Amino acid sequence: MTSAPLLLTGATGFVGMEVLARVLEQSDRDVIALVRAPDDAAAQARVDDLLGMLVAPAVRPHRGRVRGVAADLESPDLGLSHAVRERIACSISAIVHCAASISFTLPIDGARRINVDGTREVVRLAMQAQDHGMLERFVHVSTAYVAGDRIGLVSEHDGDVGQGFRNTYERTKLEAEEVVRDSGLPAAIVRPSIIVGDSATGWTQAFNVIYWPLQAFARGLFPTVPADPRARVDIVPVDTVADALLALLRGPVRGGAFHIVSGDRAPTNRQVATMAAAAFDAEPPRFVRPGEDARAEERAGALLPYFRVRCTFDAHRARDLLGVTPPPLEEYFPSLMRYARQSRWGKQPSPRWGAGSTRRAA
Amino acid sequence: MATTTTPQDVETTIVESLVTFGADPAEVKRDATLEAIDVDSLDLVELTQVIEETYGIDLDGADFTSIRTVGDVVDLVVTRIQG
Repeated sequence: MTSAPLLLTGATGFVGMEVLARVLEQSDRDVIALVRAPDDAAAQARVDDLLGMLVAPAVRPHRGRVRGVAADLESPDLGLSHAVRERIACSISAIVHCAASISFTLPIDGARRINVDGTREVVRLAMQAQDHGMLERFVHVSTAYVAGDRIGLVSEHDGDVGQGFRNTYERTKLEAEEVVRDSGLPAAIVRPSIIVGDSATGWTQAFNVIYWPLQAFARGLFPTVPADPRARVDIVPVDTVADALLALLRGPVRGGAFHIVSGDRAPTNRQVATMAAAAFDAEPPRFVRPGEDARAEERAGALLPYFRVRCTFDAHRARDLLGVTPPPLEEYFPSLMRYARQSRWGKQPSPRWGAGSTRRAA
Repeated sequence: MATTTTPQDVETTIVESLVTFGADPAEVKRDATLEAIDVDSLDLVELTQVIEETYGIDLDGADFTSIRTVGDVVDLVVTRIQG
């Protein structure tokens, strides 16, 4: 059975490309990918490049199934002409909105334009599709860190409870959730914690965020860490996040918020630092109190506040309704470090289909 | 030690480090930009450690703000050793 096409934003980002690859590998569904480009030909060229990295040459028939459309989250109407919007709205039955700025350091206005106003534009397109009686599902990719500086257990039902934020990313991602919730669309909100590579192959296209301290520990470059050694660091592999998104596209559940997290099984800072150092035979770092090593704090930069997270994410809904639970980090950490070593922390990347030996080959 | 260190020694130390980070030896020339030879922020941290341990000088982030090329790093270190 063939479903109507899926509209995907953020296909060139790490989560979006995993969703794209899975939809191509596991269904007959066509995909319309909104990507930033000067025109549709350039958008299609970006999509074709992306597919070359994502799917093996043997399954290249996938190529004809993804249509790249030039769009811009920061433009009115996403930069789409009336005719193109109408054509998209009449044809799609689902939207997965992955596009966002994940910068921790953007000024608030810029972060809002992309994450909040951009989401509002995608929601408007969704409502246009709904008016045509087409839209069945809307899945919005958020982050568990919309919880900001909360302490203790954070429920999937919680939104704005007056929390403070570490940066404009967290603040604008919460505001984006409110845009989705207030729209009245039958929408699901997926909140992953820190996303790392595939649990089987270790493959990632994004050696950012947590990979920076992991690499620093592996190279012995963080001899002291200005972090609470007992604080949890909540990490999930990208395949678990994609499992949740695919379940929301195909399964019986289509609404509400879901934490895709390790929760109370998340390891501590000390455990993660020790594993990373051990994988590369480096000395494990020493943990120091705030103010003790100004230079280490300077090096940690925008990540510093994440070294002192004091909440735990509850994930009952993701587990019970979607059947999604990430494997424990220690089980797949060797895969992550194997791919990090092989690709020199992203300096010599492999294509997704070439990483590891025996992955789901369509 | 510092009295016998020549600019050529400094250049050799820096080039050797950059090559261990994965840069192509043929591309690591004085006028190559750090960006062009794929030197990232952690490479700079490691390079700083190597320089500090080898020459007994202190460098901090501010020292690197105007650094663009391999030659800029060599000149910075040579100036510090002489100062």
